[in-house]
Amino acid sequence: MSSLLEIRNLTVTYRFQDRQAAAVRALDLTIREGEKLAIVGESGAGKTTLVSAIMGLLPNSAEIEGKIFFREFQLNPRILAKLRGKEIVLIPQNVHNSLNPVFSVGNQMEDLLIEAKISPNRRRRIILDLLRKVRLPRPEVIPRSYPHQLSGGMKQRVLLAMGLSRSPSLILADEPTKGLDPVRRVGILYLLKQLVEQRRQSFVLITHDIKAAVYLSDTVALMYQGEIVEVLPASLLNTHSLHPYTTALLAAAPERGLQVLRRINPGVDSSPIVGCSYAAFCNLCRPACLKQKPVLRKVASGHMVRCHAIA
Amino acid sequence: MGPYLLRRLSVAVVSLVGVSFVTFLLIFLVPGDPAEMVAQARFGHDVGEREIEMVCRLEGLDQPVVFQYIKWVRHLLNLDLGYSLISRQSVLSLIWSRFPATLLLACSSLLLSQIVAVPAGIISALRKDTWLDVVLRLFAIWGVSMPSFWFSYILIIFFALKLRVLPVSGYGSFANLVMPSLALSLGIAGHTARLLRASILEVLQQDYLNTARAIGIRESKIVFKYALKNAMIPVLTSVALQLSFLLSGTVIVESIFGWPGLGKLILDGIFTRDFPVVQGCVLFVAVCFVVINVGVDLLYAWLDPRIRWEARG
Repeated sequence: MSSLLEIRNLTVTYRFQDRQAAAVRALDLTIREGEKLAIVGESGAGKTTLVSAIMGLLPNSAEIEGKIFFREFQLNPRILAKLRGKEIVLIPQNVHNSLNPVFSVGNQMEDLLIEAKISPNRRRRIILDLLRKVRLPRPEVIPRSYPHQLSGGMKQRVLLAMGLSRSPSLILADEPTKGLDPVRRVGILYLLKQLVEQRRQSFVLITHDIKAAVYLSDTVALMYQGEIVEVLPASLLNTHSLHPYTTALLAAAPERGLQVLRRINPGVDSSPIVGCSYAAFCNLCRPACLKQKPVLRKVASGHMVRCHAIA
Repeated sequence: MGPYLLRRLSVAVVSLVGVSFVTFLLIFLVPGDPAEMVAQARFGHDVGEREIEMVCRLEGLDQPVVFQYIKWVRHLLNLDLGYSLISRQSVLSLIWSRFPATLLLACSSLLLSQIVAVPAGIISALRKDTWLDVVLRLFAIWGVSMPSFWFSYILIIFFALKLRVLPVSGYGSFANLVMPSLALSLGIAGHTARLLRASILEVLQQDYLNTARAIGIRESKIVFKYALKNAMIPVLTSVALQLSFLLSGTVIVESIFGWPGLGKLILDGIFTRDFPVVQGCVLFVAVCFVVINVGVDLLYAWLDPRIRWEARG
């Protein structure tokens, strides 16, 4: 598989008055054509900042360093404005405020089809097809509805339909089940699974839910404090993960005994990290971990770990 | 939509009843005996007890207030607002003769202010904290804080006396309309521009705009369609309120420019203690307020679909 999106040495720093906080630190990541990748981490690990940086939708207070390539083209604001929606789509978190409250769903979907230069007489049918594709009940009444008339799950489905409207090569879904009750969550995950398997295009899931990550992706990347600490095939996550943080995260899942993660409040820490960012909480910590930053090393085919303790 | 409209209309009817009652009571607030005033207007200034008593009986001023009110309302429903004590003309015809001038001035001032304020507010918000924003905001504050009577005189001194391009006062031609419109629109423009800027900045923070970008809506559409319609909602209230004030006649500016509008009619009525005229005008203005408010409620429902459905729960 050739690489679709390549992130090289990406650092994103938020500045607030005289304080600054790095949300993403010297991050390298490659998303291959057709790859289904899940980026897993706690709140504040920098997941949303990472996808916002890819989309070019960071707030002005963010400083961005490093390069992002899409099909060998280096991304800049001008190119991104053309790629958004057509080639790369982000399904954002916070479903409840993601649709414009004063326009009907049909009106908002139609705007996307106008961007795609689809002739007016075909738009209605395409909108209906898209709404059917995301399994919305009574798709024929949805275009006339306004966002406040839809439930959270329905809004998420509408957003997915919008994302799919131009068959982009890469869909990024940022916490697509956030704010939904458990039943709706399962429904959305099931729908995503179907859509992901139907499509040959790439899909990136941002989540803190390990089960969702394993269910929907073939590769999992674990993110801690703005860095990728481990990348491995999803099928091996539960059995063969190596990084101490991954182990701690797995142990924190309810069915594994809900062991509380030892953590600092990520994001407000402004001093540059010397050594390993996880050293302070790691049971395998050794002197080298405090002095020298570990690199992401390949330990097996498709499995990389950033840790001194793992040989 | 139906229940929402019905509820708004019933509120409007209740306000109208309240307004009519308060307006009716105005006669009793005017210093002096209404019967004496009517008698003086009919028979000259030195009226005796006999004449006053006669008027009292003829006009039913000796009856209980409630009966007088019912009688007054009955006349009102037949569009009879009584007659001016001075000119003997019917109050309704007086109002209708003055209203076009006020309506013209109100519309031209409002239009002028919005033509300036809407682009200024949008530019100010999009170019937040640049020199352009600072300049526009300074102009807006200047506009808000400049008293209209003061600005009127400056306009007269500059355009009419120094440059001699516009007539000092009067009514009838386009040239007459320019200065009063400018004087009235300045404050409204400043206020609207400031409000629109704040409102757009608030809306620009909303997640749904970033979502629109993330799924591929172009930036110009995001600003002029997605953000602007949301930002107009609070601005609308203010603009409607301004229109109501303009329609009630702007007493000072109309007086300065000799504009024969409602404001001047009210002012003259007050000076000559012509209470039927004052009463009729006040009632008319109140009706204008109520009608505009219903109009605004309808506009709201069009702008914000959440309001349309609130009645259904």
